[in-house]
Amino acid sequence: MAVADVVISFMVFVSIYAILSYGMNLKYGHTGLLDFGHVGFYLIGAYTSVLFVLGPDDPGDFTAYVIGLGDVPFVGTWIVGIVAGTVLAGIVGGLVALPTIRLREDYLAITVLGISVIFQRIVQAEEWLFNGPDALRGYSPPLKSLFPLEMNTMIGAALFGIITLVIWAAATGLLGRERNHESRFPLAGLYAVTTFGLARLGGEDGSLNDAQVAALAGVVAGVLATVLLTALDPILALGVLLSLYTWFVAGVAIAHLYDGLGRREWLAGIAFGTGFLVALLPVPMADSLAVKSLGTIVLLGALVSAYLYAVRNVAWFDSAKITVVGVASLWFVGIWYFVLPILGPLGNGYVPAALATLFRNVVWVLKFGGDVGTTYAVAFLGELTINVDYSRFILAGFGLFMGALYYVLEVTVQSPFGRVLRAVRNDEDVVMSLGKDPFVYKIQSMVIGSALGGFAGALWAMYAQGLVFTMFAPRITFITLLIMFIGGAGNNKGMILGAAIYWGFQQATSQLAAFFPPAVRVNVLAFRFVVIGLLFLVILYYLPEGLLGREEFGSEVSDE
Amino acid sequence: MSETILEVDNLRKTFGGIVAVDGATFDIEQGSITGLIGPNGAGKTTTFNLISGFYEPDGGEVRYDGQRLQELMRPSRDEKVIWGGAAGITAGALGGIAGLGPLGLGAAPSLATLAGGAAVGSGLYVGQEAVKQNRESHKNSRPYMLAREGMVRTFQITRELSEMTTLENLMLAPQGQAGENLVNTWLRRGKVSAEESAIRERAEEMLELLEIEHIRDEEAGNLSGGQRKLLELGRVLMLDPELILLDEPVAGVNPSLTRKLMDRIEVLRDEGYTFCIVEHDMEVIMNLSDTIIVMNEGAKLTEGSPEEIRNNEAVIEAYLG
Repeated sequence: MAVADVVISFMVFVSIYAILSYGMNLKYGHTGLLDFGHVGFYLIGAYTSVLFVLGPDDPGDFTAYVIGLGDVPFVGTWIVGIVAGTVLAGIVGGLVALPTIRLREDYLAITVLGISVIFQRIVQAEEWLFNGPDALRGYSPPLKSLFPLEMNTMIGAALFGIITLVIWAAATGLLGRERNHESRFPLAGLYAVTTFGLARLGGEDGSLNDAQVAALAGVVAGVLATVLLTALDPILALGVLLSLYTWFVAGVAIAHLYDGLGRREWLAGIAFGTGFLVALLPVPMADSLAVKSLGTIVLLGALVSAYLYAVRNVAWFDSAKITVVGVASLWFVGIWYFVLPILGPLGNGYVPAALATLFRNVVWVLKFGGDVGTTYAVAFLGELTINVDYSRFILAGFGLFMGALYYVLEVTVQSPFGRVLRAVRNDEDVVMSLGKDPFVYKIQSMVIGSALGGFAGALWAMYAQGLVFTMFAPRITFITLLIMFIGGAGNNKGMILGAAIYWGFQQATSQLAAFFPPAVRVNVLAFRFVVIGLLFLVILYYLPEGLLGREEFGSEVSDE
Repeated sequence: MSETILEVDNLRKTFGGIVAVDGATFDIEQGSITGLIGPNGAGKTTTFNLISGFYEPDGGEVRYDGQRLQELMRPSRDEKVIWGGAAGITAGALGGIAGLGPLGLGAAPSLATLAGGAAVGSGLYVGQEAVKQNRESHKNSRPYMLAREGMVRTFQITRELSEMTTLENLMLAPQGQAGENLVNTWLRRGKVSAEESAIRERAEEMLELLEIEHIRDEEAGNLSGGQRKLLELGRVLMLDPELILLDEPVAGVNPSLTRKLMDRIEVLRDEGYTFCIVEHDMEVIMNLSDTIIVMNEGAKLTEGSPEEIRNNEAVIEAYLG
């Protein structure tokens, strides 16, 4: 599996958990309702949506569930299932909230934790409901049968057009935010080009805001891609163009993020990133188990000590401590993504193979290899078989949901409604003395937050293609809490960052665990939970505000 | 004399064995400033909490604008919709499940049991609410309903929304903002933002009025004690109330600012606002009040103009010393 594919499955997880955490963030970060039972609504969303796409149950096949609507026309589709799962999770969230919401923070948390465990046990014990302790499977995600895409058909072209739409809209949206900053590139001009001139409709006196311009530009790009694919067959060119555009925007964004950074901060970041890489080397390199584990732990310990020493004793380092970690992470990920995969072929002297690997990782939008697909012969790289697989489509869809929900939630929390929520979080008595009923707002917050959890659950059901009750243990709630505290409670952008950090950690450690013999691998994977617990403590102790801190609210009116 | 805006009649409140308010009876005239004084533990703040609906009285009655507080504090429409809807959904779901499962009626008749269940559920809520409200012993405690009617209070220990800026604190207050409704927030953004601009403008004016523009974007948690007092007063004024209950408005405020605050309150009184003020600063009370009510041991000791109070033997003995 190419590294790009690893990253894509990682990003799918990030989008599901970011949406799940949006819900938690609305409840706790904005309204102050500590909901330890968030996973219960995730469960409801997942199981409800699946009932809409499953065919009728068959006791002869050892499946039993309350109802399977998959064969009913119009009703038995994912769209209806997702909507139903979301709405039901919201309603149950509201019902659960009614009796519990009067409780103070910690009592509320414990009560809803209990309720979420009740949900889980009901699924486990009631065999007629969702197949009891056995997995609920036998359904497939939407449009799955069409993949890998056949580019010469209309539907294949249209689906690639949808993928293009999402990627283009996301990249253009980001570019739209960056275009006002100084850069060595003519960003404003580029923005005008990539929005196909739509940018003129936005801006200061325009009728559209940046998000709407980006969405429209995405639509135009998607339609263009579809038309081009039907008329000609330039899938490779489109894929390269799309991928390079995203890399360019990512580069501009990172450059701006670390704009004011001095040379020594850069060097320190790169040094720590390299140091981290070196510290992990014993795992793949060493033969004996003792050297693998102890060597890495000792080296990591030395690295952390050096970092702490520098924070304590070097003034400039202390003020840039988080930035340094950010630079180090980027450096490390960059090496992992671009350099490590080509070391193998290079070592064997196969320069074309190394180049081909690099090319595949750069053009992440396309999947290479496989039996089906269009085959090209490219200079220097040799033959490339191109197809577009389902995971890219899923990512486009989930990413679209993540972005759209982010936008909706920002509108919500920046409005007077969000202001009341924050006031409730601060002091309910004040809200009451100002003629507003905190109860009504807390219920609304619970309903929407739980509905978001249900929505994430439906996406998870779609992605996992099978549900077992063990997936919905209270652990998920605490992972969500961890994500929220990493990113910063009360900051929707922080949910995306937090989910990325958590799943980055999970991906990295499972990759490392693969270098251990199978008997030890289980222990290594279990040990991750210890590390996550420690991470939770460190975050709460040293970064109670999270990496991004609270959002800035209501500085100016937006009137779109 | 002008009309009476608030009538307090034989109000009683006990905490365990302690009788905090014991038969307090007084009136507040519209467009006046009434001072409420008395020694520590005389029950002033408890009376405030009772009048503003934060405590439920054990006995007696308060009338605001001729209406009983208990009437005013009946459940709001939103609350009725939420509870009635929840009862309906729950009973409806039970009805539907009963129809499909134990009764085995099939899909279409089960819809009927579902609807029946929903009707029974909401009906039960409406019924029990009606029974509850008609019981003499039932006490409503919904302070926010009183604020909607135009009676607002401040707190003795200032309660600012510490994670929100001064401006946000002020912008929170106005009643009935369209943007507080989610549907408007999502679908009628033009209306919401137009209203938001108007509220922002008013909040800026209020900042100017109280001369705290310089802390506009400061988080309220970082303000000094005096600034918080001003912020609370501003927040209350943003509501456009009729009757304002101020609990120690000048405690911890420097003399020049106190002077300014007093002028402000007098101007507002002349504009038609009514004030009731608990305060220990005698200079403020004596200069500001039209009427002074002296409380002692949970009941009204006496009432009169500042001049009368200053010379009242009983008051001097109990409080002024």
